[in-house]
Parts: sequence; C-alpha cells; structure tokens
Amino acid sequence: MPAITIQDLDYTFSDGTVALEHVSFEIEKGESVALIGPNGAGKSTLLLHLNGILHSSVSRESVRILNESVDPKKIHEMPKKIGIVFQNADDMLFMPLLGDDVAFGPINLGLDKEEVQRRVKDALEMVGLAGYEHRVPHHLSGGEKRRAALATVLSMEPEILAMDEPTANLDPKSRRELIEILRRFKEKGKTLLIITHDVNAIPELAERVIVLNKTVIADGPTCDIFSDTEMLVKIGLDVPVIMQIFEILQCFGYPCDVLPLSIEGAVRNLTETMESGAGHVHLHIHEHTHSGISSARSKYHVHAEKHE
Amino acid sequence: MISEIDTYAGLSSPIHRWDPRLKVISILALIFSIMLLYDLKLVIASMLFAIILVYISRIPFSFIAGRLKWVFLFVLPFLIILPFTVIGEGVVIAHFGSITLNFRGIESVEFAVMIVIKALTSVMLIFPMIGTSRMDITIKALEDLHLPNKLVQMLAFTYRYIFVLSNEFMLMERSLTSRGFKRGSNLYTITTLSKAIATLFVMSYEQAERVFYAMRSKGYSGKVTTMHEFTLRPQDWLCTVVVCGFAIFIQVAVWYGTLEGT
Repeated sequence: MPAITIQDLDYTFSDGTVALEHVSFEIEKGESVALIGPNGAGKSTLLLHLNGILHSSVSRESVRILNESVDPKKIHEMPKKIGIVFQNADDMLFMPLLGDDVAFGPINLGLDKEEVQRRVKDALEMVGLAGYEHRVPHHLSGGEKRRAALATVLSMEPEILAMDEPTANLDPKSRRELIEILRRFKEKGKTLLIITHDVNAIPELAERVIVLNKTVIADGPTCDIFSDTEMLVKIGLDVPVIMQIFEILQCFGYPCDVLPLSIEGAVRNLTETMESGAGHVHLHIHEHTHSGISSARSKYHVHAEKHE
Repeated sequence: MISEIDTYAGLSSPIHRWDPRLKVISILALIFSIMLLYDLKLVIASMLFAIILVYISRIPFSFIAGRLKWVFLFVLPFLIILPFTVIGEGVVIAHFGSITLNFRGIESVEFAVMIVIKALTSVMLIFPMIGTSRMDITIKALEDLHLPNKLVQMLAFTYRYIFVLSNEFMLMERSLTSRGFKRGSNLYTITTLSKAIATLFVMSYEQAERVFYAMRSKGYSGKVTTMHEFTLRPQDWLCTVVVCGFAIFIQVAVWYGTLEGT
C-alpha cells in the first residue's frame, strides 16, 4: 500500500517563482526515503504539501497520503496519518512548557486525558527527554530542542514521519542521538521521509533517495543514486565521505566493485577484501595513481575550482 | 537561564504556595477596590497592606522599587499639575497674560498624593500577583479561570516568543557593533536602529507564519488547550479570605464613612 503518492504536482509562489514542476513519486508504507536537492530546490515546499498546508490550485488531488487525497479543508485530520517536523525547532515548540507542546497534538486529536498523558510520556522517553514535561522550551539546548520538536510529532503516533533537515546545525553527539532515534522509528516499520543535506547520514537512514531540483531528477536505491556522482555534483550535491575515500583507495589498487557508503559498509567491504586476500589488503602506487587521485578529487571539488 | 519575569518565582513563601487562580482573582479584586477609593487614609492603609504582602512574598523591595520608579515618573505630573487644576476656588499665584495660575489648597494636594499612591500601590500588587508563580503557571491559571481563549493564546505566545525576538535583536545589535556601529544621540543611530527593528518585525512575521504552519500540522483549529491540575487546600482559602477581606473592608469603610458624613 502506498504511504505517499504524488502525481504531477506543480506549485508556483504568489510572486511567480516556480517552486515545483511535474513532481511525481510514490513511497510505499514502511519505506525510508531521503529527499535531497540543492538550496531552493523546493524540498521544504514539497513537505508542506504533504498535509495540505500548501496546496496548488492547478494540481488538485495530486497528493495522496495513505491512499486518500489531501484535502486542504481537513488539515486537522492529517496529523494522525503524517507528522511533519520543521527545520527550525523554535517554530515547533510554541507552548509555555515542553509537556504542553508534546500534548498539543494528542489534545487536538480529541484523545482522553489518560491517553494524552501516556503519549506525552512515551514520546519524551522515545527521544531521550523523559521527565522534561515541565521544562520551558527556550531553556533547552539546540540538540534537545530538535529532539523535543520530534517528540511533539511522535506523540500523535503518525504512520508517516517527514522531517526537514533533522541533523542540520547539531553537534556530533546530538546528531548521532537523532540518527539513532530515527533508526528506531524506521525499525518499527513506520514510513520515513527525510529532507537532508547530510549525505553521510543517508546510508544509515534511507534505502532510497529522491533527488529534487524543482522536479524529480533521480529516484532509486541509495547506492545507485550515489554512484551517479556526475549528476549529483552537477546540481551542487555531494556523496558520503566514506565513498570518496574508497574511490581514492581504488586509485591505489584496492579492489572494490561497489563503493561502500557508510562505516558499516566500509567494515564489511574491508573484511571481505582481506578474507579473499589471505588476511591482507594490497595497495600500491602505479603510473596512473596520482592522475586517478587528481581526477577523483576534482570530481567532488568542481564548484570550488570554478570559483578559484 | 531564568527570564526576568520569573526571577523570583522560585522562592518559597505563603504567597508563592497560594493557588495561582485564587491569587490572581483576589489580588485583582484588591487592585480594583483600591482604584475605587477616594480617601487618603484608606489609600495609605492599602499601601501598607500591599507592602506587607510584598514582604511576605519575599520579593526584594529593591527589585520592585527599580520598576516602580518608572511608574512614579509617569504619575509625577499629577503631583505638579493637579494642585493647580482641581475645580474649586483657589489662591491666585500669578498671571501670564490671559492665563491665571491658581493654587487650589491643601485638599487638591491630598488628592494628587492619593492618585500617585493609588497608582504605585496597584503596580506594587502586580508583583505578588504574577511574580510569585512561573508565568506559564499563571497562564494556565488564567485558562482555568475561563479567560477568553484568544487572550490566553496571545499571552502564551508573547511569553514564549519574546525571548526568541529579544535574542534575535541582541544578535543584530552585536552584528552592528562588530561592524563599528556606536549608539549615540543622532539621526544615524535612530535610522539604523529603526531599520534593525523593522527587519525584526519582518522576521517575526515570517516566524509567525512558520509557527502557524507547525500548529496546523499538529491539528490546530483555533483553540489551544493545555493539561493542568490545580488543587485547592485550606491555606489557599485562608489567603483568599485575608486579601479579599481587606478589599471588602476598605469598601465597607468608605460606605460607613459616607453614612456617618450624612
């Protein structure tokens, strides 16, 4: 059953700027998808279409959530199906106390008091903020705010979770904690759509990547999308650092058909290579090594060089 | 980090422990009762009662005095103007062409002093009323008292975002200072700060829009409800009886005085 279906969605801002053009894709229930694209590609605009906050008069019924088309007049019914976490946590935490913020959604869903309290407790526990009900949002740290914003959506127990830049501007510890929370959500079989520039986090969170630049440029399994480096670099995107390192290792003669995207992938790849090489990995410098390294590096730094 | 409005909300005193709903109602009743007074002795008695309340609440007088000073500056003109403008026969002090300056006697001075004390007492009472509970709890108390939901939302959002905006303005000021801007009494300072404030308005408008989107994403359809539990204890009623009792007492005293006068 499809969780999100978008069919030929167009959206133009009131000033005439085209934000989305013929966007179409489908996400199955239980899938984890990363939506990537350069700044101004329409990612956040697309996100606001998923629960009907933004809607295009020319593309009525273009967006379907859990097989039902999104009706802008029934936005208040959407939180049960899809929870959206915005990029700026301060926009999500608008009540005097964190407990009120987490309870806001469930109260609007018309749940009884005991159920609201249970959901507040569970959601805060899920994001590692148990006992923070009486904390004032503006006293929380950046990482805590981001997790708190997630809790305000998790308390509505949505089937689909859509997040805008969940790991942006976080310190490494907070980033790791957030990735772990999202992984747990994914393991529960929920549908996850993550807008991100953090390409290093994608292999851990998403098995599929959609590249958006006003329209869908590419859509496929994570490793396939990242193997098309040329396309990604052309629209100003990057590939995971691990992948870049293994491409450099290839120039030193490291045998690797499919470049790993994450640390886990790298460990697996190294182990397999060493097992097949009698416990050793053979690297060497040959006549094409340096030219290979230069071409691999220039591939990723094409933008920087243009400006130099 | 504790916001200034909540600086003394964490102290422990009978006023702090008083149920916030009864506290707001009782002290508001007292303020209205004082505003209706036109008897200097009773006004002074009310001021003493307010000082006792502040003393019990353990909010430092220096903190209150620092804020009352601005109120005093605001009501100071009454002290100067009223003795010369209250209706009645007066002593002519000077003539400025067709304008005559009359002094209306000691009664008009009393009247001016009374107005000033009434104003200072009322503002002083605000501190034990809202300074002894955290603002979020006071907002919940107001919600529980069935204050119109729109007003509760406005208060809650003001309390939540005033810090975000003041922080934004502080960052803007730092950015100005780091680029050589110096505050002074000149047009350049005024225009620069006006532009910064204008930008802040635009930013707050945009943020308001984003917050509204977030609220709608969480099922908002016009009403904000929070969960809260207030329980009333005998001590709460005792405080209420004392404060409301005093508010009624001063009105009875006025009524009794009027009866005696006739």
